[in-house]
Amino acid sequence: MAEGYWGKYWRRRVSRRRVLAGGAAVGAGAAALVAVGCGDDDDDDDAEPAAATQAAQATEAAAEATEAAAAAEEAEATEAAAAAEAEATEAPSAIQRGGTFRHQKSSQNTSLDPSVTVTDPTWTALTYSHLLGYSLVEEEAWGDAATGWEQPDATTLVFSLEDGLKFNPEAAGGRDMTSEDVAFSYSRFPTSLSELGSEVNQLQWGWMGVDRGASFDTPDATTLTINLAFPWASAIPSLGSSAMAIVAREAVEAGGGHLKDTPNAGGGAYMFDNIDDTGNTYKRNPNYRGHSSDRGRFTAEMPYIDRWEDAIVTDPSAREARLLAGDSDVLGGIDKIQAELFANEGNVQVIEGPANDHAIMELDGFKWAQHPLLREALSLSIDWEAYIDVVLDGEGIRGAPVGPAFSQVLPQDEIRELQQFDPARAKALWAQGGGDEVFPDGFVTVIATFGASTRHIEFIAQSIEENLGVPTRLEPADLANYVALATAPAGQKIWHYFIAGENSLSTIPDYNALTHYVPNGYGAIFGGVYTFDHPLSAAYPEEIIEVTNEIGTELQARYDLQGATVDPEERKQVLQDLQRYIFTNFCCVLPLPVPSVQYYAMGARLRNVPGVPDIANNASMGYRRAQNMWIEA
Amino acid sequence: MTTAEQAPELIEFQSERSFLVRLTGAVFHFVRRQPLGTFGAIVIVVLIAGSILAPVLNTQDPGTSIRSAPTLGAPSGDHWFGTDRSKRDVWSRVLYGGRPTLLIGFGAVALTMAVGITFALAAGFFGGLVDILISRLIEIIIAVPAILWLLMFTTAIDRSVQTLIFAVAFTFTPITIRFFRGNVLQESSIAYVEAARVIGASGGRIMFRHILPNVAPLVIVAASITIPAAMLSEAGLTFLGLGLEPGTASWAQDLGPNNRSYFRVAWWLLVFPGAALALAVLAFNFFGDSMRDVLDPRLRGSGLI
Repeated sequence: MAEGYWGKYWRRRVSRRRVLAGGAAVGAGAAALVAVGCGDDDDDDDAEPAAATQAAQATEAAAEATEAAAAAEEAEATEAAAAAEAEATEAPSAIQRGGTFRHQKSSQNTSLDPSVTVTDPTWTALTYSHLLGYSLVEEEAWGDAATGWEQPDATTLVFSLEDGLKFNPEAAGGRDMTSEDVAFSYSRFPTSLSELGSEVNQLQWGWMGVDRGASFDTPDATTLTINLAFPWASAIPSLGSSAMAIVAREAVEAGGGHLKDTPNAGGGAYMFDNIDDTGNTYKRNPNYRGHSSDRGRFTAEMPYIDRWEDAIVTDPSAREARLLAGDSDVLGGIDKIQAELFANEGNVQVIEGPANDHAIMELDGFKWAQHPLLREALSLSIDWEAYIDVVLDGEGIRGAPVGPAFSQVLPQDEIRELQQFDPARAKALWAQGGGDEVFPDGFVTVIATFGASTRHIEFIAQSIEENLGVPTRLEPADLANYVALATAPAGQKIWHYFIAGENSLSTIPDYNALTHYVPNGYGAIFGGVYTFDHPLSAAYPEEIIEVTNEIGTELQARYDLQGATVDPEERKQVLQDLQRYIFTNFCCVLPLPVPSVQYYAMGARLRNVPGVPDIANNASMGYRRAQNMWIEA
Repeated sequence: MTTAEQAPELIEFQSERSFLVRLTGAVFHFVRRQPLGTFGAIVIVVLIAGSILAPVLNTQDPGTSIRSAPTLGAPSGDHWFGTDRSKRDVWSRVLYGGRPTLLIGFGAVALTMAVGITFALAAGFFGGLVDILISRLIEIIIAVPAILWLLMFTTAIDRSVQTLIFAVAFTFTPITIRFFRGNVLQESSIAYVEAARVIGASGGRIMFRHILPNVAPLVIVAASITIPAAMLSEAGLTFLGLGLEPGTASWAQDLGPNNRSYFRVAWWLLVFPGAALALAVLAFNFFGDSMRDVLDPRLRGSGLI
């Protein structure tokens, strides 16, 4: 009798099939274990809470104890309350100086010259001083290099610099930082734009008018007068921009006009220790200590943290894993679901607060400017409220050209009225405008491969396809290609719409969001109309120029007007009218809904972490400049 | 009706019957002797059927977010495999997700086999300069890592299913040519080829009518083993974010960055697409191994079959 199928294998050497079969069994077992493991996670709600939760519980305990004390005898009550109070307000262990902050980012900087790029604010915040900073939370400017300032008239700003400020030892030999250095740094931008191909948006420095007649007076080493070319209501907050770094002239000259080979050119709290393909490391600037300030800057013994490591970790999941494993101290902005998950992780603290995000959908003016009906149809085809439900987990508000934290933003009801979802009308307008003939191949958009999630872009693409019947091809791009694709010249952009988001305060701490809508700002380099001082691309046909000039000139005029309107109430009116104009013309940027709450994941060992939304705001007391932040061992 | 008139139909009927009987017998033989291969075949059929019949299997548009559905909802009566972070039905995504993966697997292998065998026949049969040119071309292609070819094609062209089919086929074709070239060389030295030459058969006729049928069983074996590899190539590329477009319902896509952050709390995001992909690969491997046992003449008499 022939032996059975299975039996004969016992006497044979292991075949590939048998290994596969074994693998299948192991896989099934592993899957079962995973399932069981996940099931256990659900039961972990009662597990030992994180430090932050413990503090909250301690506070509750204090409150309960206080109530009990009222009912008990006075002496006992006092004793109990005191004990509970002690537990609740348990003093943190003494500040521990030193330690390394372990930062992470997706890619290396394209440049280390603040007049060329500020896409990554970490190095500018750590290695450079600025005249000012601006806190959204406190709604006020604070002096960094400046100890005081005044504005005698609409176009004159006078600053007093801290006496005895120094650059780091590798920048100009660590000499004193003077008002001339500030003037030199601010004057570089036009040259960096024309000769170094600066990526820094002109609105970060153009408000001064350094290319239009602005001047600087430096009567002595610690006094600087900026004579603006025209009034600018946001001048003081704008000085907190990352780009407004104070650079040592010698470092620039040694590098032949740029800082490619001389990146240690500042006087910030830290200086570069190493730069390579794995990331950057920073060490203390020994010249930084010993100054005085009532806001924690330039104070002896600060910053408390000794070193920063900024590792390049390209995979978003790996960045998350590093935080969870305690190998990194920052993950950055996370969504609501992640915040709920991370709240129970021992190595993580979740910081929550009101968001001030700004998200936009740029339309390539070259393709859309002539087609107002199609632009409106596109806007009407996006289910904005569903976006809030699905992408923002219900914790969102309708976006506007002005950041949601500012009082000048349009009311939510008015935004809903101005930006509707109406698929039937969208289709009708699309047909009326000949959409299928204008865009026969559908749309193309760009997605970042370095970002954590593309859900919001997928949602928009799906919504347009469902409600307008036009498909979108998603083109992936890494950081370098992403910027290049976004800012490709008119007529050469591969995309029809481009979805971008940012914290409104990451660069210019005031109306940065608005710069996406105007010809002299991001609106020009991304996809919006392209007029004003910028030469219109030769690629633009006459009929497009006609349209873009009309809308672009109006947009720019309204933008300039709000900048020149110093009176707050009057300015609010101008800003709100500008927002209405943007909404009703759909050209060429559509504001997207934004989160109403922002969550930030940081390492649990950090203490004195700044709050949201300033936490990531380089111009404010964000964590990169929080010198009183320290690491608990 | 005369016997003479009936004869051809009868012969045809008997021939068909004979074929059906032989086929049924072969199937039963395969089932009895190759249970793992049979399991693989069943899984393959189920996965293909699920992908094709997805629209009628209680599914919804895999790309559509269902506003009333919970975010990261666990498997339930409404959503058998749960929902993902964008409130999309995972059951629907798994069924529809098989389409691109299977299509790329089958499409790439069909293209690979068609091109690979043609070149292998030419190289093996004609030899000389033709063989040298083809062999050097293969070496040039193989010298570049497959992942780079895949990236080049998806970057230079686009990330559509058709491009991925072409790209994956491009990376597998050289190996296929090498594999079959050896077999063609072997066949070319057998007497029947010489006999065909003697009676004046053309080169093309000898290649396609004589040699090809003799290496045909190996095609089935090679194809069934290459399909899972092709599927994994696509999955790897997509997993890296460089394959199919984000949002496309695909098993590998659903194991990608958008879902990865939630695997710890939403096991269904990992298990169902992951299991579908693993099952498909495993099934093709089982089936391919069994087909090799059955069809590879070199294994006949080895005791395995």
